[in-house]
Amino acid sequence: MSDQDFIIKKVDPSCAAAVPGVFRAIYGDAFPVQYVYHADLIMAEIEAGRLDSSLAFDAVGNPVGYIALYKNSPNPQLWEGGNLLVVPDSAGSDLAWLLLQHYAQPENMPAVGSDGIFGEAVCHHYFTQMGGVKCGFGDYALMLDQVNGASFQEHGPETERVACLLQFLEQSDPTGLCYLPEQYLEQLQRLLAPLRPRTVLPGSVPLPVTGETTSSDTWFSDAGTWRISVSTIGINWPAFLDQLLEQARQRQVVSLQVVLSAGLDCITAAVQEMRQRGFFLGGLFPRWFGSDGIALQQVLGKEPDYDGIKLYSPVAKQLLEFIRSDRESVLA
Amino acid sequence: MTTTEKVAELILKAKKGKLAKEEVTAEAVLRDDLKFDSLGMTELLVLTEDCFKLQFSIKEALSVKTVGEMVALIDARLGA
Repeated sequence: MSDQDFIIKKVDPSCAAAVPGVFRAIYGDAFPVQYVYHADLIMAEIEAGRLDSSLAFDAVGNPVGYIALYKNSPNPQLWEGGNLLVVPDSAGSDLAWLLLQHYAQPENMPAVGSDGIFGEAVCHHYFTQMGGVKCGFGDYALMLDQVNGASFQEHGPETERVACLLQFLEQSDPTGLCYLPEQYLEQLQRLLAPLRPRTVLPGSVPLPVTGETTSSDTWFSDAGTWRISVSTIGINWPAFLDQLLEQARQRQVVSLQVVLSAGLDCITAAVQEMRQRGFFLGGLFPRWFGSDGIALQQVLGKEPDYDGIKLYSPVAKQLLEFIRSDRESVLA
Repeated sequence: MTTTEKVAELILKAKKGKLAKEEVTAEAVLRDDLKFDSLGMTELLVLTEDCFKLQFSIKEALSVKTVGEMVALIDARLGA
């Protein structure tokens, strides 16, 4: 079947009722986000500006694929791309490629302002990350052991856990300063290079002696992955980290991820406290807070599954080398 | 080694022993005859780009349906 045999159109009230059928064809009723099974809730998400999704129809008008952008970060202007679905009857076609490049076309982007789109590509195969690179996305962070391998019904990995590569396409000019931790200055400047110009400075101010640390978090219980986004740092930063690690052990977290705002001028001192507690670099989360985010990580209770990681771009391969070396130096 | 021979080798490598050499003909359709799914096609593309030191666009990748078309695309890009 050629690409001319598919029509991809934005989900609207005329076709929202077809979305649940696409999810059921692949996940049954087990997809963890429940609104996808209710046309009215899908439309409510779209009307609230939290979702922009598209359906693919085959030549006779059957819904056969889906892809979505949704909000999933502290920055309300940042979209995450995901939920790329192709029903089994069309799996032998090129539809997955067509859907992957759909939102990389400027004319298909949501009408309201966007700082960019990020995606998290699983790294036990090349499909998503290669598609991302060929659609103009760059590779910025590699989070080890992020996903439970057992969660893949098809095309499962050979390892227990799967790493994810954060890919990003920037769509607005950044404002504000970008403070970098001196420990990772060179590596982060390398990652920043393809992005739009921003004012970069080393964040060398000491930790504050007043105020509280503020953060938001997402706990992916099925994956054992806990992501904490830190927007301000206060006097309690060392105690905050100790408490975080204790809670992570109690929750049996495998992938612990902390994203620091690059708007923090004390980021070098903050990272120093983290490295003393075993955190190592994950990479850059561009525009995560509006300002960029600097991601550090730990894999708890096990050695990272390096063997199953497949990386497409030279940037991603170099980042993995750096991360392995950084982890070893932190643990030494 | 010709482009055809190299491509046949890459296809067999990508299929990890699940294909006989005789099945890889110029007319063979990658998806239908050789049973490459999207992930398999991507593996083959990565191997091909590495082998020939080329980068293909999505449009180019989607345009290739048969082994012969793949060889022709590579030769055209190499200026052969």
